[in-house]
Amino acid sequence: MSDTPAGLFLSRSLKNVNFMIGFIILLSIVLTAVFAPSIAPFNYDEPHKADRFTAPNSTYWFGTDDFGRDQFSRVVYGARITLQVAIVGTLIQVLLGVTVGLLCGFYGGAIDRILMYLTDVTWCVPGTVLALAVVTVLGKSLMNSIIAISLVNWAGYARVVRAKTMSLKNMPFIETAVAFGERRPIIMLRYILPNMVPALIVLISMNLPGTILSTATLSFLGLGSQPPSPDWGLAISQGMTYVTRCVWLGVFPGLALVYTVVGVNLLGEGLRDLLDPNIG
Amino acid sequence: MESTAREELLRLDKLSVDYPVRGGWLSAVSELSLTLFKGEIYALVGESGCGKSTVAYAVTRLLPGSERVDGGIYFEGDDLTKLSASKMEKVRGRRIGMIFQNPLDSLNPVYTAGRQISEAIALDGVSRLDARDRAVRLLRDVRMPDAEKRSRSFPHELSGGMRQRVMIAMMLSREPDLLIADEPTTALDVSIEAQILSILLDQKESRGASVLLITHNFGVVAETADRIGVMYAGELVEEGGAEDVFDRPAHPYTRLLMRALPRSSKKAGRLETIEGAVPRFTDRPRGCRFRNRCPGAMDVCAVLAPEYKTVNDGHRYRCHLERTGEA
Repeated sequence: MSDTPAGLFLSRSLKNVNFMIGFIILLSIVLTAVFAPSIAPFNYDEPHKADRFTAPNSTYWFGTDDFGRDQFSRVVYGARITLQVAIVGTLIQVLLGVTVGLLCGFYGGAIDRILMYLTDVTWCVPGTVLALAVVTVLGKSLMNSIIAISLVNWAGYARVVRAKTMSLKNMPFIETAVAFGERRPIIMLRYILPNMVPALIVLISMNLPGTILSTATLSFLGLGSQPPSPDWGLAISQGMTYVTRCVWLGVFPGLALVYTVVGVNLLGEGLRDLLDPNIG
Repeated sequence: MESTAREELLRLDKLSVDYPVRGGWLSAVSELSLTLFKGEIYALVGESGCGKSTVAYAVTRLLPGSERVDGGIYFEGDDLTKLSASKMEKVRGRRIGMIFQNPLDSLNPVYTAGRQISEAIALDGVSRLDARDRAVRLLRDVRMPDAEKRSRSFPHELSGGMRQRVMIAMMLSREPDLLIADEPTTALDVSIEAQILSILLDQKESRGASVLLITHNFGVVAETADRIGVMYAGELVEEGGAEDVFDRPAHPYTRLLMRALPRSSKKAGRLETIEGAVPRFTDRPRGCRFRNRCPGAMDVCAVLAPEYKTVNDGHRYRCHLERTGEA
């Protein structure tokens, strides 16, 4: 078992504390999101008129809000939104960034100059400001805020993928592929791309916390998820209104967010040690 | 000698390759003309830096792209220097296969040996399943021990000799008419070297493929080549049938190379060496390129580049000196 690459990787990951803690945290979030209906005692938008602003107790573990909605259930359902942000956001960023990076690194020349110019411009505009502009144009919704954040964050992927492509394209095995007659697009997709998967995984795990936090920020500012969504960012901003009387309204969604980001960060740290000693 | 109506496969016509360097052009290959016939093994021999690999890369058009190429490379009627990039893609692998010197980094680290070979076979429209079977058969052809199991190994799990076999299997898979082997055995030990060379011989004998064997090792040449071309500083200084060049070397450089061979020193004692290194020329110099290391250099060598002199049919050399018997 341990002499195969997969077995070796497994035994090394089990020894990596960062990776294991991060992995367990992330797993707990994924499971929470998937089984939210069974975990949450109430539906996230079910009001309990008699129990408004209840402090945490045995029925309402995280208390209730101004509509008497169970905060624990809302935090649990919020995991689904965070997961959605993570998956969709990363997908858009990777798709954009990898495409641009591959094209730039592989073909060079005019393609490289034009696309890199675009990347650099995106890179140097403050992220949140650009995202605000995009949301303003597209309209306020969770999906639009994910798109906005992704349109800001893809540039990081493009740069790393470009650099990686440039170094891989000069490897002797690429020369071999050319010598036995592979076409250039095939070389890009079947020879260069698979060889940067480890670096990509590390890059994704390091970018993920930023994506989650930025999207939560937009929701906090009222530009992302709209009520009655159980979005954590939105919940924190709503909790702010009552922060002096009902501190639990903001604290629990905030803790959930911190838990997630710490988990993903640890996972990223661990993956970097495991997969790619050359990056960062 | 097999001199009767041989069919021409590859002809280099005054091929020159220059690389840009600060303040001019470095002449890597200079007006090199040679012809490779069908079904023969032609060995291009010379020291490091004499331009032999540049010839190989020029033929397959794998040079970095900043170089200047003059002259013609005619392969079965096509001038390869004038083919479009997409037509060249169809020549590579299918008609000309290239085996590289360094088998360690020349395989894609993320695919298994069998996958890489079947990838090459699939380029000709063979289904993946058939390609897999053929990959294993090819690995057996190149005498890979335990071929079935090894086809599922990744490159880093294979030894240098095994990797070179995978590389060769890949290049043989599409049955190219011309195989260019650029120092295929340099990174391998002697026993593996002999096996690799016999695989190349097999290709010639079983299906009439031609091989352009590039090497700095005269010992490799002795066992395999039909004809030999000796390169020095970008020029072909001597060319002829293997026995002719071996038994009656005409050019002083060839003679010195022979004497530097471990097995040819009749008297026991220290190996002979050739003093100095191959000079590098920016711009094309007048005179003979070997004169600063030549034991028989004369005044004329500094001003006039020698013409080819013919010893016998197909055996020619390029020197002002008349042949002076055995060296």
